[in-house]
Amino acid sequence: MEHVRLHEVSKFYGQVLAVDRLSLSINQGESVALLGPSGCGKTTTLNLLAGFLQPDGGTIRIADRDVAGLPPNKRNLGMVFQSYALFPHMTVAENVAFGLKLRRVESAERERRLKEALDMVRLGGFADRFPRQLSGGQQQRVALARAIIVQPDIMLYDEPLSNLDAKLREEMRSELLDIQDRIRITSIYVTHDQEEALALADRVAVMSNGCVEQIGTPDEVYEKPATGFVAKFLGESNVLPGTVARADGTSVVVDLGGHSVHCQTSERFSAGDRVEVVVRTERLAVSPERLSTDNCFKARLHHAIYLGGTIRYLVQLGDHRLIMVEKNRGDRAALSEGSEVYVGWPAKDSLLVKLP
Amino acid sequence: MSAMTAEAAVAAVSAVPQRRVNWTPWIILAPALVFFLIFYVVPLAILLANSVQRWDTYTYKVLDYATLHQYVRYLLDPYYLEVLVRTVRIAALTTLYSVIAAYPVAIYLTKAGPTERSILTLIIISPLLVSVVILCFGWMVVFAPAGLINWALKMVGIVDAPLKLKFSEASVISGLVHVYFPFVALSIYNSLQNIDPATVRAARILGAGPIRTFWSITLPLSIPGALAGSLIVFALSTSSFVVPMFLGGAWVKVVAYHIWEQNMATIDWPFGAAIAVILLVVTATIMLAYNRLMERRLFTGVFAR
Repeated sequence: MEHVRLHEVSKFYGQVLAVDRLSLSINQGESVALLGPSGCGKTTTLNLLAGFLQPDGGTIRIADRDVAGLPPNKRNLGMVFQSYALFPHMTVAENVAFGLKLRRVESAERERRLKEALDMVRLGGFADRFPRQLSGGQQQRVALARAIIVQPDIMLYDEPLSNLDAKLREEMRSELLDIQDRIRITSIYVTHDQEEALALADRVAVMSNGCVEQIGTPDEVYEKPATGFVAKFLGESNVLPGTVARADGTSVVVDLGGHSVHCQTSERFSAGDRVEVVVRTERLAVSPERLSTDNCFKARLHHAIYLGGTIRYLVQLGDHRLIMVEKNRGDRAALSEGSEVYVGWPAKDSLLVKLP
Repeated sequence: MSAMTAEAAVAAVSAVPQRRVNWTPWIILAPALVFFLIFYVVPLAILLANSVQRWDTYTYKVLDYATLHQYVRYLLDPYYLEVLVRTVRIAALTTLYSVIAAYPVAIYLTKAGPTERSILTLIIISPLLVSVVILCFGWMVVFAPAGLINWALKMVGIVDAPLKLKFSEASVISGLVHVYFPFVALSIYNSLQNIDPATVRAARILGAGPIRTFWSITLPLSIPGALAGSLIVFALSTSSFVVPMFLGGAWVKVVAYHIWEQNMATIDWPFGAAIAVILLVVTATIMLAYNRLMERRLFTGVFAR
């Protein structure tokens, strides 16, 4: 069932079009991440949903109601901010109960729900602390409890994890997933962190220049990017410009200037098209021996960067510098820098982007 | 222990970390400290010493070096006490009106663009750029029997005879608010600037309207600025002399007037000194009590930060 609908929504900042006729439909209980680089309009879209901004065009419907002109306090939303935005002069309990007080929930009921919310974010013993006495992760959990306790129709998350350090971010991410599973509220995440988006959302909307480039499940947008922007924005990729030498239905051969790359695609290409071959760093393989895969080239190993869990290889292939990331299984002798190696990848992992 | 050689013992002793006095802060503070000592602490001590004397106002011969005579003389006189109470009342009302007038201006300032903000800031501090005497002349024109307000009231037909506005407490307070308003406005503005805008948004999305958000979030979080500004205004108002002289005259006498009178006209320095000390103690006591009330009782969460 459709819960949130944005139809041709536009927003100007002065002369700059921040959101450009954006349409998006979100189902009841679904979680959607708006993912994109800074300035792509994702935060503006969230602020339009929250009611902090009014659109210059288009309509926003929440639960089949046009929310045009409705102030944020009348929308019954929950929001978690990047800076947590806890009220520094109130205790944890006062922060969390703030929304209930505004809704005139009577005190016994308020106490019960407060306890429940604090227990849910595992902060039962912290009710009387002030925000400054809590760690970043704890503050974020208070912010979460404060938003959830009012039973909002929709939860909005503005870069919820980006202020946390890497380890805490992982923990908080699984905690968010747990809570999401339990309460199943329609959730909208805004993030520039693709791991966060892919991990938390049922569907990811990749945005650029105020438009949605592609919306789909995490594996759809990652494996089958609809546009060049999505292909290059998601994951870490090698981008190799070349010309289509031969096109035969789904199988295309691209000339990279001396190297012929086999690609598989669902789009139509014809010989002579200028294209970019996009290959994710984790899909490449490197070996001292010849590899039995669709594309295999002799190259020179520049650097092998040991990162513990993974090893990054920088390889020179003709004019191109390729980056590849390999899991460190600890079962192979180190490749020596400067030596001849083979690099290879299957045709299905060469994403093709047509250049104008 | 006895096996330890002399050298080892010396080495052990020298290895104990020595606490070294850090002189840097004192060197940095020295100029200000010396200035305060010479021009504040010493004169204050002389003032205190003077205030417990009694002299003959015709011969200026000191009759007594250690007496509470001057204090008793002031505090048991209903006329002087009335002036003291009036001075505190004027200062308190000046502070209150300054804060009320400053809040909307300070809030507007946080929302203004950079150019508008610099122009507004200049307008706000403009009373400090003009001589207080000139400002007072301006207010006299406004409050005079044939002045702006009376003219307007007569035009509208509210009064027949002009109201006596000049030389009233109201005119003194108007002048003081005008002069000291910048301190509160800029102080509150500074505090408002330090509030994370996301906290205001958080309150809005949790269901608070604009007014509720102001009372629950913006106001408490800007109280440190309002407190600092109001303490400055209160202190300056209790000791103000020029504004009450011009706008209150002989009808609205304040403590500063009596200090001036005793020192410059009657030449009773011990009495003048005692009045100054009384004013200082009363002002300081009220300010400390007010500060404690705000920090420990009314806004504990804000100041515990």
